[in-house]
Amino acid sequence: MYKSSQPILQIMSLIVLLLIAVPLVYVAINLISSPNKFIEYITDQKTLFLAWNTIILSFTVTIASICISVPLAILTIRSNLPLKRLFRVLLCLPLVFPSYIYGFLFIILFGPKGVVYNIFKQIGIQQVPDLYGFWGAFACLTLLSFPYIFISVSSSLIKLDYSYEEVSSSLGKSFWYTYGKVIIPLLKPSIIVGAVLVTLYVVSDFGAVSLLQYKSFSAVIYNQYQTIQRGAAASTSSILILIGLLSIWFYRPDSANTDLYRSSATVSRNNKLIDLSYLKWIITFFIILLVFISVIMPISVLIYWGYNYTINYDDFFKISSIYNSLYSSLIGSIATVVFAIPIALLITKHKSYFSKIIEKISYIGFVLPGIVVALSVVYFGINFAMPIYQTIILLSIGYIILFIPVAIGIIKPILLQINPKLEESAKSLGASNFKIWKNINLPSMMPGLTGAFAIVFILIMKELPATLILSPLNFNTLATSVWTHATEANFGMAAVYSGILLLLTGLPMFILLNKGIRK
Amino acid sequence: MSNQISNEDFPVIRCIGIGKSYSKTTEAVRNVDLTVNHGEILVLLGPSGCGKTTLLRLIAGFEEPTNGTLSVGGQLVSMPGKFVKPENRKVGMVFQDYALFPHLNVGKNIEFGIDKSNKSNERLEKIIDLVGLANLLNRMPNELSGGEQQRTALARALVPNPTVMLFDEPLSNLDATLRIKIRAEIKEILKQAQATTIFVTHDKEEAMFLADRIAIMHDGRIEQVDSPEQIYNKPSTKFIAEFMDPASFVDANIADEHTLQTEIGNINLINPIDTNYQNLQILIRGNNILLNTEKGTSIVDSVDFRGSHYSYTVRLESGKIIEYISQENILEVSQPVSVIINNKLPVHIYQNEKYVSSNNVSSK
Repeated sequence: MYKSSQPILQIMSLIVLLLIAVPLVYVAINLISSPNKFIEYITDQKTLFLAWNTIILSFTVTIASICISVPLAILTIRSNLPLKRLFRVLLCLPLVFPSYIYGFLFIILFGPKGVVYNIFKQIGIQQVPDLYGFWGAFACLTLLSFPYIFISVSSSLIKLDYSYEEVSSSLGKSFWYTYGKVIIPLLKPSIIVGAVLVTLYVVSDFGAVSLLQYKSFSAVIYNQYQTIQRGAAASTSSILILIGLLSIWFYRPDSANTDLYRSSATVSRNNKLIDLSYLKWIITFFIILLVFISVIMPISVLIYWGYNYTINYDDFFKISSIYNSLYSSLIGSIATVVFAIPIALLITKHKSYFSKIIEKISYIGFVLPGIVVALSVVYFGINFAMPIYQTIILLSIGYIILFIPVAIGIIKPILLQINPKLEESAKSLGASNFKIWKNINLPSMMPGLTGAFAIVFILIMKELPATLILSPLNFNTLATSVWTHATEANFGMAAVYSGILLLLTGLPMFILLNKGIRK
Repeated sequence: MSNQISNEDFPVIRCIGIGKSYSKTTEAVRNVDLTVNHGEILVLLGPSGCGKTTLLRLIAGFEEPTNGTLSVGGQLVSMPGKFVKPENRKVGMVFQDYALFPHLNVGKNIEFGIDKSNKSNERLEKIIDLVGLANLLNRMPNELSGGEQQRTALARALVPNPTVMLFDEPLSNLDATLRIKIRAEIKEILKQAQATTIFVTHDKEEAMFLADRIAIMHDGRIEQVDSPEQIYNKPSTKFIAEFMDPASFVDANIADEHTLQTEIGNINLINPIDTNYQNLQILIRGNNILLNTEKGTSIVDSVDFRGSHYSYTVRLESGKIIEYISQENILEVSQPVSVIINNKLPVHIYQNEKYVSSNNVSSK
């Protein structure tokens, strides 16, 4: 049908693919050049310790997130809880925080000599558990990432027909039996989708674990890189890339969308909500407490420190960081969307074995930690592309690898919605290929492209590790400024940059998120 | 099923003054009285939005009535201040789209309603045989045809031996041929299982086929409960008459106690009629009248071929349109005809659109 444009698309996709495959080449070169060193390294006690740390953290955070979000989703959708619509929105709010901002706010709040410490001391409690290490990272990342599962489960549950509950109860089964044997199993696919996101988030998190001094892979790789242990950093990265590659074969974004169950097509009846009776107020209290800890306290601290700092030392603020952030995000997001187009077209319009492989490979950025991608791009720059090393171009390549899966994920469904008859009827009317593109294909793709651009723009602005490693010298963005000041415990200055960054990314992201939930 | 014999003395379902309103202005069900006897299939029939599904859901316990009392199997399950949850009511429900649990196979779906301890119970095997699913127990619901899904849902609801079976338009998603086949299967199975049943539908043919009695619902109220024949032949209101089949009402005046004067001539009644009646009408269906082609003041308005017969509409002199059906294609559009009553069938007399009495017509 569309075979005419296929070769061009394939060539364009191959070029994009070569870029995306940089991390793979990096691993391959590492493995081939010094296999002994690599094996020695990965069997080392220290590496195993790191691996154990990473696994245990991502596992516990994922389990905790499931335990928090599944009941919350059920309560805020199926019960007679007051204010549930408001809660549904508030519970998603932690997603707007980048982990490095959340990390240092967590330190201000719960760290030694922090806000909570002082309150506890005043009421006579001296023993405050140590924030640094596992428990701090666990708590911080759980609060930060449970909304992924909450959103995924909520959107399934909203569509889930009440008739399953009704059939079960008419067959004499209690509420608990019904939820245990029917509803939870039906929600399993959406729980898994959310859980995969949380696990990936924790494994690739760099900001929070570094600030909270928990030794997981990402934090240690950055340390090795900083202390110029390039070989060690490369070996550690290689392990993560290999794990990432394996997980791509298990990750099927398409199957994630196919729900097990039939969704409610009939007019919504006045279905019975779960009656919480007196528990209603206790649950409300706990949800408010959760929102208070996860959102209200961090934001208050941010405003308080930022405000105090601004009145006292505002002349240290570098306005260039805002320009740099906007500039790099603009270039990066345009490049990412442009590179995503040929791949998205290829995998939607020319289904073949080749396009399937391309689709799989394009997910690499999704499963790889930013720090690992950054290191492989640095390696590529130094060895093969010195002229663009430490330029915005190399930085953009890093962004493309990291965020092209997101862009493809947004453009693809829009392409699938376009009726192929449109193009055929244009052809039957004698329109040229160029005209078809300009007047039909491009306009109908536009909503997908702008949507992808908006989201990638926000993601790039929040991105830290790749920006930190790949930026040109003295190129400070909002994200790197927050990081620099936070690691120097200059929390006031960090709060100022964080506030601006959150205003620029949080608000639009929140709007996009809400749209998603309503859908 | 021996324990059910003693239950035959009292109605299995008894609704007294049941009402359900969602706000002051929207009343879905108004003051419904209804009883269903043991082993009976009662069909709740009515147009969409008439409240029939809501009534069914009130009986199942998925919704709570605003007023009235409701008992199931002799147990009071709903009255002001008391509400028994659906899981404690022993009702079996079959939904419009079956709601088979998609993560469980046919076997697991069917045995969902019984306790773990007696999985190997006789009734289970009997029901599986009855619905003919023995070979499909390991299939998943999405691997079943529409009819098989239907039978699985039916078996699942039957297995726990419910006091009453409730069906919410279970055939409306099937195509016409399958629908006719499956409704026969359902009737057979329900009768064999001696299940007391309430079946909701908007399809009058389905209702007449399945029902021992039909309850016609309109605007939240039950307008008539009767056998299918009675409902069709002696509809108690104009609404029911028109809902069951095309029908028209022709005004009638009493000339004497044996004669009604109408637009289609005088009708001679065999039994005398109370001459005090006023504002009478007679119900006219396609087979109640005969046409005389020789002369007349009425005009054939349209001709429709319906397969087994022709359906004509005839415009009377007054402009009223009535239907006439015939096996023969003898009339043409615009042809003048005269209309006379078919004296082989009884005539049904209405007052202000409510049924009064029936009478036989003498040929004279």
